[in-house]
Amino acid sequence: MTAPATAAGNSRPRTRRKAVDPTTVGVVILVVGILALLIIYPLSTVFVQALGPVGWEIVTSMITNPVNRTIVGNTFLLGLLVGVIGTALGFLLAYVQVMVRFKGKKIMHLLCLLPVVSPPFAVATAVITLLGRRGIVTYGLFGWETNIYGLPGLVLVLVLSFFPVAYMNFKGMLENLDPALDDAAANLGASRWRAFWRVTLPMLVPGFAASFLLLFVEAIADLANPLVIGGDFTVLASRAFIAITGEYDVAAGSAYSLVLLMPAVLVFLVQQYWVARKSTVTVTGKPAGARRQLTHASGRVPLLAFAVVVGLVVVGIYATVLAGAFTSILGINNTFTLDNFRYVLSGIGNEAIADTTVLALIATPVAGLLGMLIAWLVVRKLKRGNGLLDFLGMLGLAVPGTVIGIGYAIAFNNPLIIGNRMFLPALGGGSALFGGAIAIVMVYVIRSVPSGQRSGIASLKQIDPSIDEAAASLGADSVTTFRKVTLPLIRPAFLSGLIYAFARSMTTLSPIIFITTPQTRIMTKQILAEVDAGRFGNAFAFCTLLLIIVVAVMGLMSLLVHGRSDVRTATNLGGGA
Amino acid sequence: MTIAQTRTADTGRIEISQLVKEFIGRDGPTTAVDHVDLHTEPGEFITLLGPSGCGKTTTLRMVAGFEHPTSGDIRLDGDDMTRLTPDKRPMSMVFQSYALFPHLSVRDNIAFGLKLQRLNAKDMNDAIEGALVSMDLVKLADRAPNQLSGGQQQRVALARAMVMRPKVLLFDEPLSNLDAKLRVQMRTEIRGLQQRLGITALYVTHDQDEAMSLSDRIVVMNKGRIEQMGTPDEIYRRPATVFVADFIGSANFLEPSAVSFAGGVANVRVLGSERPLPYAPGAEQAETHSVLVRPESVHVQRAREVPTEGDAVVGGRGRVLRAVFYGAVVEYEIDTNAGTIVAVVADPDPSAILHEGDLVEVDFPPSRGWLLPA
Repeated sequence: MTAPATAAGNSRPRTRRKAVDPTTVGVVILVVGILALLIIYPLSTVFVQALGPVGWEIVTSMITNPVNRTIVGNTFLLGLLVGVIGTALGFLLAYVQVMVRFKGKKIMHLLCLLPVVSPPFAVATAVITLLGRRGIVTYGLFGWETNIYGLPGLVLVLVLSFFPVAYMNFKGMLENLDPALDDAAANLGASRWRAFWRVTLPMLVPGFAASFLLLFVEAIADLANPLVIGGDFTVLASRAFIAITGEYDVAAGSAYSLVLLMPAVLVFLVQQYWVARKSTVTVTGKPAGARRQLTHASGRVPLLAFAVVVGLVVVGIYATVLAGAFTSILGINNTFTLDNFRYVLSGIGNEAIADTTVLALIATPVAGLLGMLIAWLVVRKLKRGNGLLDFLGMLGLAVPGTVIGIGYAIAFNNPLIIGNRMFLPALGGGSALFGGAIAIVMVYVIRSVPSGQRSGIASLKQIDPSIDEAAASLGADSVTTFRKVTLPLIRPAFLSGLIYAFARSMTTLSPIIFITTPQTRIMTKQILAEVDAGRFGNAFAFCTLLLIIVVAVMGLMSLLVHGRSDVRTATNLGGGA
Repeated sequence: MTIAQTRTADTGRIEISQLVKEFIGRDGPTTAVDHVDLHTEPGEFITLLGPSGCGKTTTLRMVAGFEHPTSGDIRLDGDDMTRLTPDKRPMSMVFQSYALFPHLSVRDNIAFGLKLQRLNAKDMNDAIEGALVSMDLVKLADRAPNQLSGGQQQRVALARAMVMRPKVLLFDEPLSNLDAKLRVQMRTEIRGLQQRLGITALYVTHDQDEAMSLSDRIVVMNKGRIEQMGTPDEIYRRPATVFVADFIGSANFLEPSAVSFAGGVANVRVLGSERPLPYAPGAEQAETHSVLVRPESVHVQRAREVPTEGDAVVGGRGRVLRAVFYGAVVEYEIDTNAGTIVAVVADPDPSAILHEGDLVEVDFPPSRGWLLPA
């Protein structure tokens, strides 16, 4: 065996022999180039600033300076609490949804998903209105003068905002659990309770880890809520924001960003590439048999009571948003009025709605296509470096929005001049082309790419690779194969990626806040301004409109998907093997 | 039937030389294909046969262009294919999973490759209709692939590949997802179509019946190397190695007690008598030998007289260990001094059926024996 091995070894350096498809190479270069512009370059500017002499001093002061130490501690504490509580909440709700028999499952499911599409301030503002110092519930009902600002309020708001992530995660896992496993456990003499502890729960361990990590990252990356309800409880994201917008200290902002970036990306990596791989549930395939749902009162009553409470809280929050939009000052002057909408729909507010929607609509297809291209390259085309490309595409999700925003502000608010030549005009900021709209679209794209990429990868993995090979064997080059075979096949994933991308673009704040300009107004930033000024009514009206736009566009898109796929299923009906 | 036109040009000569494929695994490189040389004649039907992991599929995929050889050359009619991407090679492949495009109708599946060639509408329609007719798919033309049975899907896959008029047709275990009866039927259809069109075919399978019934020549592979290349008859009757003999059909390997070579014949003492047997190249140099006798070549007869040395199994005698009645044939397992022998008796005479424990005489004609290096 040694002789042929060495013979082959000698010939291996002849790499020129590789049959490389030039179109694939072209697409790889294009995609990597776009990613370089959208995320690598702005991120690297943050690194340059943070690792510079001024920035690095602040980075090291995270350990030496007690104030900074507290900020770092606060951030981790917040992530930890939101991760644990949000995971528990998501799990319980998913368990109730999948395993317990009750009426109104659909409504419960929608309530659990509502926070996904809601703008970042809706929850925080509503919570302040309900539970704040003059809160409708706390003061109005009980006469308490509570202080909701700070850690407790922040945890409450973040848990309510992000638990759907855990809920969806667990719901998928529980639905994929083979009911035969429960039957087998029962058959072997295990009680239902015992089967839950010894069979179901151990299989969900990767799910708990994944949810916790995801919520941890979301919590430490969030900027909107710490600004609105954080009070004196400063976290890294809000500290970086103050450094940039209040102190005009780019180096300090970058330094805080770097400290925030490291754990976020690390946790993301662990979640994506380690926990996800450990998952035992997702690979079991189609579940067989019917699930025996929990009907016994001892388990059912407390679980359902809990779900109802959560449901009521969510309803209460959104009812507050709605009520707040139509009253003068909710809780204090409850007269019905349309003034809030009048204010929001005239002048600045109107512009913001139009600008935001148009920019999100521009970014959405770009992000969707880019995500699909990355997915296609990762799953099908690249034999080496696919992990790296996947990671680069996911950076828009892994990197906290605050960090992206600061990176964009540094990278694109001034023209890129090397030597005496301008390589790139200013894309963001007041003096930029199109009033900084380009940079905002770029942010939308990079933030939205991961959702399309994920769903694209998942659906591509379902498609037999020999279908691509068949196309090649019939004379189609890679781009033709992508256009004529791959894209039509992953269209449902593509469109659901688009829907998610649009919702995400419309509701994103943290990166936008650093690059908006007077010329280009973004709704989320306007909402923040209203909240800051204490005009909650206007904020609620904005949130309501934003919700309506998002839900309307999502409905329209899914109508498009279903409408088209109905035609196809119709032709598929009848006959078949 | 335009598809049935025979290729006039003398095309489809594949020349594979010194083909090597290494995969870099976790524990270093493994050699999947190890210096394979293979030449085909135009219009020949060649089957790559071997156990899983023998490198047959990897070889096929390198010919198709889906894998890049570590070293070696693949030529087609003298043109170097090695650096061409799959879409640039004048070959079409039929896949194990059929790989029909699920979003396209039967007709559009067949049209897929032709559309890329930018044929004019009339030629294209003629070709598609021809393919539909010849594969009996006319009534199914507007169905989606998921509305077809496995056999129908296979016909579409075949039509889609054929309609391209490739110089070479490649088959990657195309029948392994079909049930036994359909498999036999499709075998006949594939062979018929290939012969009508005169297209060179390279066919990968692990099913020896498929290989025997389809091929002009069979290439038996093992551990990345070619064990033997030959006609089905040569492979079956004159296997070069014990591996080939064992892999194709069922085989008895008898231990000879003495072997000598003279005048192109081996004189082999086995089953109690000396027989002049043909032998495999390499047998003369080998130190130990095996005699291959196929079960259907073994003659079994009830022993006429009780042996003198008690129940001892000597010479050409044996004792039946097991008898299994299959209907058309009876299979016996017989204990002899040359090892356990399996014998298959076709069309058994009910009165002559033997039972466990019966003492028998075992023999085979010298022309049906084959001496191999062990």
